[in-house]
Amino acid sequence: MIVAYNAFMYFMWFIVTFYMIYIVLSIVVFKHSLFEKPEKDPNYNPFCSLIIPAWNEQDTVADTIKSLHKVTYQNVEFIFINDGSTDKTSKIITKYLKKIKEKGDNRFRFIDNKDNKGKAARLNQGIEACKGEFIACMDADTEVEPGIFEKVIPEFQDPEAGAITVAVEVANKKTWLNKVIAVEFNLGLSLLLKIFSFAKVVWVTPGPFSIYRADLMKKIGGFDPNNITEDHEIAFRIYKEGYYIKNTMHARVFATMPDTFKGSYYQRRRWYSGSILTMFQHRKMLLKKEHGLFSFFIPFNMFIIFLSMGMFVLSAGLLLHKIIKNIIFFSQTGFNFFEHWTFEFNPLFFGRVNFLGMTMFVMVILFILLGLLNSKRKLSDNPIGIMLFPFFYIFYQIYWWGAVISTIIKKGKISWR
Amino acid sequence: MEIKYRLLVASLAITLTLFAAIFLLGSVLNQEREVSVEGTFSQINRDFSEMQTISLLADSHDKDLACLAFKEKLKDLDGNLWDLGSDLEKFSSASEEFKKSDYYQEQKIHFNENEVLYYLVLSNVVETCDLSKQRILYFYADRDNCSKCDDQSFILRDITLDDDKLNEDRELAVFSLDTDLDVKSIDILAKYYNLSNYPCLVINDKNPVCGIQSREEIMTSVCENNSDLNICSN
Repeated sequence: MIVAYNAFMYFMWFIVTFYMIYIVLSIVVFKHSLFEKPEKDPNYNPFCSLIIPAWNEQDTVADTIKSLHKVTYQNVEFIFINDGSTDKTSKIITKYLKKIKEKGDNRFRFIDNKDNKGKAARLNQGIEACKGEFIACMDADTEVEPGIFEKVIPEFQDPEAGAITVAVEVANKKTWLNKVIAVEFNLGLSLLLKIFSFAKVVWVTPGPFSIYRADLMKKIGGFDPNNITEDHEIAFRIYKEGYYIKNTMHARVFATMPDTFKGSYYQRRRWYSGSILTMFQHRKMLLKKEHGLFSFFIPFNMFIIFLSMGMFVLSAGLLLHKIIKNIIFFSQTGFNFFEHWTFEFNPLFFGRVNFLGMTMFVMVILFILLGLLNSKRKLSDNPIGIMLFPFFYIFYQIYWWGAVISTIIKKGKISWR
Repeated sequence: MEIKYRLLVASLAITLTLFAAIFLLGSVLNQEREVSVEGTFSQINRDFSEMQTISLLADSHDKDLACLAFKEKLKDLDGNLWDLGSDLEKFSSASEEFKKSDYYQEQKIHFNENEVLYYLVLSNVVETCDLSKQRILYFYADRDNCSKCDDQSFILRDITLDDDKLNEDRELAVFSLDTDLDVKSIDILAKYYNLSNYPCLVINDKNPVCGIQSREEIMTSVCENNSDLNICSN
């Protein structure tokens, strides 16, 4: 068992450390390009459309409307689409849009559907109804920066950019879990997407806010209504068309995350189940040179995830075995845990596996610190989240296992909600 | 080459270098472990030679002075053997390679031979010098043949740690003898006490008992022999 564990640890270490070093090196190399802005043409103000599907968003949709009202870009239409909400979403949207119209803001439209068809279907309805040269999609529990369109549109000067993603922040950082997720988003849905966009391997156009070329969206037929992670699935078709997904760290949106672990678990389960199913759906695209590094990166990423899951099970099994063994031992001596507690430091008591573990941990810490500092974040803004983030790995495993088990049990028929 | 590919190559090179460095460090530490074990062994060998000399002195010259010297030397030997046993255990759990090395196996045999030697010397000294040191012979086998041996080792270690805490000179001497090592002296002792299933304990050369013994059972046997011991009043 120990030999298998050590062999696995060596292998896992190599793959993960390679990945971490690649990221850290990229941060150092692209340090000055992270916030680089393309030249802005003041005369280029293309018409844009923003689609916001909403299902039972009565608690957040008003703030979303208020934030859109503050958007400074004028050549834009905001299309709210109700997806048969059973709460007061429709009433709230109608009420707020009326108020805004009275203030002279005519950029808003509302399509009030009574039936529920799912997010992807509603986004497609919006794509059909909109007139923009660029189509942005946004969640109804997200707030945007006023200057977001001025920041994202110049990124389309790159003719290969099919879609632009922005930095996603957590709006509600009250619970410790959301503080940790905020760090994950700072690194994962901002910095990493930027880093990976240099390598043209960004695998997602996050639901909170992403903007696409309208002609591309119409050509590929919009979103897949049968996929539960439509924002991940569309990435495959964007690359298939020869485009790539670009990220800008200048523009930020603030998404509301579930406040409870249960809510977060269901959300993640959907994301991760969706990514497994999507990879299977587009399996023919994988490991094909004509689709670039993206087609290699996706299975590599998934491989790392499954490798870490194996590692987690093995470590948890060994730990549990050790705990049970110690309980049995200490039961023989009256549970005198602390009576004989001694600590002796001697480098000779450390083996290769310990050093491998230590370097991996150092790499993770280095990535977090370098990542946050180069993303222009203050470490003092979210100290709890930063401290707890290295241990997020445990939650991550729970989420992933939940996703894998659900996918198997439900044979891939996982619902969006 | 495009920068993204250059980064991949550079990352691979750094990872390989780091891996090689850790691998090398592991080898260096294994060598250091060997040096450390050899150092303790040579100290133990010196202790044994000196004890033999003192033993001759006790026979031919002043017995009281020799016993005083014996007592002093026993304390050193006891400590050195304890340190060696504990280091071997920690080194083997730190490095799988060290544990599997011929060197470690040889040292383990050597250590067990020394344990028997120490036991015999101590038995002799206890009689000659009328010492109150209690002796426990602990026979064990590997985990596959003895599921309770780890538990028994833990109990004995717990008692020894208590003894260490209470007394400057330990009142107990526990000799752990691995019956799987093919050490002749251990085989002879096991045959002498008619032992076949492990763990087995022989306390002060009397009544061998096999099967796991609780802390209380061991302490009762030890204290039956001498109730004035500090560990018996604890």
